[in-house]
Amino acid sequence: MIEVRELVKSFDGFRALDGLTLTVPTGAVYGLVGPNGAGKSTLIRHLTGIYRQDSGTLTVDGVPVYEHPEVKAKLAYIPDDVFYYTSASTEDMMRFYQSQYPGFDRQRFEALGELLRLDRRRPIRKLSKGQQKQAAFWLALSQRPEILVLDEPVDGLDPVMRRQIWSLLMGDVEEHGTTVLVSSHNLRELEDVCDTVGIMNHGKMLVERSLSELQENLVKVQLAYGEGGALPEGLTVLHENRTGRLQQLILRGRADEIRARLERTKPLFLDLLPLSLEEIFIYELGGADYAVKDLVL
Amino acid sequence: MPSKTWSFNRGIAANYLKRFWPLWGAWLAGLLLAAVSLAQTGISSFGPDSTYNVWNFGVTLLSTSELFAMGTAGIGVLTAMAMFHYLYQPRESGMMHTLPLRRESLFLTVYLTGLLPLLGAELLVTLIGMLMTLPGRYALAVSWLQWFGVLALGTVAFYGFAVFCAMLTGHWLVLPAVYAVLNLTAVVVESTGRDLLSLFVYGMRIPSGLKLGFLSPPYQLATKLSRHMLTAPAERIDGTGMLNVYEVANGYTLEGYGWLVGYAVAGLLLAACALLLYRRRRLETAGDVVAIAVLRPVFKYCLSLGTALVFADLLLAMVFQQPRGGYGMAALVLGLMIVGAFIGYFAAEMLMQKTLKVFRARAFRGFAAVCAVLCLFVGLNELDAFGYERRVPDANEVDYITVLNAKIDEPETVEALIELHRAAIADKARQERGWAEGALNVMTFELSYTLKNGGTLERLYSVFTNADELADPDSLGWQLERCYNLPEFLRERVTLSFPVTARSVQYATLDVQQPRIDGDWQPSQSVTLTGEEAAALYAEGILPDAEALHIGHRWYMDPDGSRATAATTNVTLNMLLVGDTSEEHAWLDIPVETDSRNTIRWLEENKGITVVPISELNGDEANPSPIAVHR
Repeated sequence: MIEVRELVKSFDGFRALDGLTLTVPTGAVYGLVGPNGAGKSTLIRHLTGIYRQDSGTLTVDGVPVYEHPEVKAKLAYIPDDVFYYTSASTEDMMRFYQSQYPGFDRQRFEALGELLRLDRRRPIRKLSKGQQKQAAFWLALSQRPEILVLDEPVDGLDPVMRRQIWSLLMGDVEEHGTTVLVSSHNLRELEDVCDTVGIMNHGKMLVERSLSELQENLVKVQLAYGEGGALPEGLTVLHENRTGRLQQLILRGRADEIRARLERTKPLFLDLLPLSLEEIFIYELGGADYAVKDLVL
Repeated sequence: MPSKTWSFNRGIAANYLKRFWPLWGAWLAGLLLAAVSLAQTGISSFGPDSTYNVWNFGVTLLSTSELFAMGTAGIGVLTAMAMFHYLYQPRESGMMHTLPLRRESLFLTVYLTGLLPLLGAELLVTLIGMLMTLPGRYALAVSWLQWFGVLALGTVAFYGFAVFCAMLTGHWLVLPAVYAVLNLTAVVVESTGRDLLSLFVYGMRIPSGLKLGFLSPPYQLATKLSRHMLTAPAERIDGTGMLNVYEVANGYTLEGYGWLVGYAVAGLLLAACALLLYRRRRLETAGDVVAIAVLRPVFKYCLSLGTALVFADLLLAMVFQQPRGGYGMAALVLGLMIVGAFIGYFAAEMLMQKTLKVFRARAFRGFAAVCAVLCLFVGLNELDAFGYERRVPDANEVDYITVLNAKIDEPETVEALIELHRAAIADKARQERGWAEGALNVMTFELSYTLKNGGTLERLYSVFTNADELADPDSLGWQLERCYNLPEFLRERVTLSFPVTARSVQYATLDVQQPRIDGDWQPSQSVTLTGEEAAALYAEGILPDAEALHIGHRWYMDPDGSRATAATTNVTLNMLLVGDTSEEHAWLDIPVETDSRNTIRWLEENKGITVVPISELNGDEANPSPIAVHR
């Protein structure tokens, strides 16, 4: 389990992480989302032992990550901008990682090579961006990590390769209980794989729940009233859009409760729809003063 | 079982060796080329009677080791740049620090991976050189081992220092700049500070050597590391039956080794300090000019002050030919230093903030502080707050005074020099106005006191003389001349450190200056003397005249020598004197005077040189001066 408690990190007076707290259960696929500048990458660099926090704790199964090789040995990290040595090929990097990670599985490397079909001897710098990402996955998954930290993992991959990669990841999660923490702006894809979501903003955790709880707690309602009809009192409206009589509302609350209350007001038309993760993201942050603004140019 | 904290990571070492082998390869190639060339040259010079050549080869070998010791300063920083460049790239830094190893292990691995190949290359080249040159000449083994020692110690010293510098910055290109600046800061600050102070601090003499030179390893090694051939005299009778004394090689000495050892130890200590800094290093500083937050103001203020000194010193050296003292010069120095400080201060701000937009009100507060420091520096020295200008030792404090390379210790002469010193201080205001007061000439005099408590005190004064002072017998110029012609000075001028005997004089020539024709000096004539003749001239002519105070006077205030006993002719005796263990070239530049009867008589009787007063040639009987005419 990854536990972060009251993590604080400042850069030249700017507080990038401001008392951040989160928990990633073992075996979970945790989606870390947030607007640009929320502190996601900063958090990830703490999780991988690159940065040292100003205060707070960050542990994996109770052991701090920073300067603890035994924890780092269980961890694989794919950043958004992958690093490789200038003239190194995938095979060169494989040998390097094999020398560093005790759990590196050469057989798995070979098996993944069959699947990914990259030229392992070609310098990585000569591969396309998507191929470089594939090479990064190839090496990371060969490490057999207990924890996989991914920052924009499928950026640059074609749709087929995306599915392939997610399939491999989910296979590891299911088979080996790998814990995955993935940060991405592609909420559509995260929605398919994550079971827990953390929404960050301004260095703090705004919302942290399982995906199902998040979806249960926000409802999209389409309804229309006749003459004299009105919404009942006490509803938490996060967003409202009106086209003639048709209203589209985002309401906080459970779907069954909201349906019951709305039906009592006898609308002409009522429909409840589940929200996508992207919509949840937009409307939760809209409440935190990070809404989509209508611009007139 | 290796410690988890301190372990050498072979995977990283292998990776680095594979990527950076050209660096060590170039070092190996350079050393090999030099060593093989030397060895070949040495071998070709060895012959049946090759003792001297063997020693000479050893000395030559060591002279190249000094050159390569300075070269280790370059290879040291290049290696540190290669080994620790990952700290300056955020992506690579991230990758390296996600690896499952502690920073201590990473540091140890990278440090040793940089150092060991360098030492290995040096050892390999040493072994190759020994194999080539040793057979039959085992004395050279010591030379080769010393060669390796010099290189290895230099490598450890400079590489360790470069690694320490690598921890101070977050930018790859800043590392060599920081390294170069820190290597030379002490000597630059001391020399520029002294240069500037000497422009307006009255009496300041810039001593030879730098007291802080030891803080600058390249400077210290360049001045201290040296090797000398040792020789012993041998005698033989040549074909004409003459006794010849010559030198034979008798080994060599190597000096300055202690400094190398000291710097190597310092290099190891600095590497240890680098580790301590690395353990606390914030990796987010990758790309920053200064990686350690508390050092940012230090960098800014040091760069500002350093630029102030260098800028002012350079500009004054290039622009002003005849610096004069007084408030004007002090103000000029301060003004230039403030301009230099401005450049350095805001350049540092631009580097650290990575923007040109640094001219904010808040930034000027720091610059104002720098200006205040500079004002204090100049002001306190100009006003002699530390008493430097006024300091004159009492006679009972003085052991001896060195003036014109003469060691003066007779009480009367010491008292006279101290009075002269006081007179120079009293005349400060006029002397600082210098050429502006219509000076006809300028003399400088230096006083170097050695005190009984072991301390020293050195002063240098320029004495400007105008027409009024030339007519005033109590002016500073005349006081100086009288002082320099005291009996002890006259005796010192004819005293040599070697005995002048027929045996010790290897050769001697007598240069006799010819009289002026129509105001133009004529080339001097050179007369060769035998050892016996030189010894006789010295013993029968010069020494008795010196004892009688009839030779050796210096006429500074009247260089044309129009006075009665003034001389316009110099007789220069050049000699090569050989002692028991060394030799010395000596010469006596003696103004012959009309009273130098013994010298004049010897020249006439032995060499047919007639010394006549210049008035006889110039038709001025009122001002007779001697001139030597070789007939």
